[in-house]
Amino acid sequence: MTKTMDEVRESFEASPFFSHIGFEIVQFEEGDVRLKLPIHEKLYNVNGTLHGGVHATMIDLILGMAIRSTTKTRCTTMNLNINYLAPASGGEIQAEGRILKQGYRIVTAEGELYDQAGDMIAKGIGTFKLIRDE
Amino acid sequence: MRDYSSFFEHVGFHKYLDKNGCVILNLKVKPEVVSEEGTVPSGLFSSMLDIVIGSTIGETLQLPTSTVNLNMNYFDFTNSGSYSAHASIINRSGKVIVGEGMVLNGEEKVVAKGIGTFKVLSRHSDEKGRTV
Repeated sequence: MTKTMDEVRESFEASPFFSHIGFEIVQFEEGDVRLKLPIHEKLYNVNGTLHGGVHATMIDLILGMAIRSTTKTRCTTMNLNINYLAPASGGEIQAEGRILKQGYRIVTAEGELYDQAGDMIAKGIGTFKLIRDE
Repeated sequence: MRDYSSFFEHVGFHKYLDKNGCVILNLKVKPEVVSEEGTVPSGLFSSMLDIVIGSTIGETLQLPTSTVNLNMNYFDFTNSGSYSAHASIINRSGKVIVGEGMVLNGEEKVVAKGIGTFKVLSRHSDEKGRTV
């Protein structure tokens, strides 16, 4: 069943994991999505910087948001490739994402994470399967 | 074995060495880390793969590591309640190490698999991985 933009946004925000990590949606329009994460010490690795699992989680999320904002269809991650460019600690980071190619069932999207200075700290590309109700 | 990170505790992972000295990472899924639909978020499996591959390399070399690239495939997000992950090193070239890992559900079925490239840091690196 197709959902409205508000319903799709609410479904992201209703996820316990979403709020447990501390994500906040900055923009959620069709094809224009942004997410932010205030960095707190609970998200640190043993080196005292943002844990790599958080980068991957945030890129996965922004790609899913980009896809759902356009297709209004639930999707599931099949593959995700993350390149880690720089560490982050303190302040907040933001994520942007967009669709590269959309098929009937398979969608490929890419996204980036930026630190507070606007420098890119991670880039990822993912392949997702659309879950169509048929 | 190196100390747990705060993210590690925030999510609820448990790490130990098995009788062969291999790093095993376990997760009992808490209600606060599931998706809206009750499935396991892919970010949890990503985190498990990052931790278990990085820890396996760190434990083998007794040096800190930093993730350069992670490529992951996901097969099943149905919440089985508990998961375990293990990894192995598949290549080393100077300070660059490649490892692979997998996440298994309670029935020992593979639910995610990943390959990662890690950089070995100096024992005297600061918190951002710079040598001091």
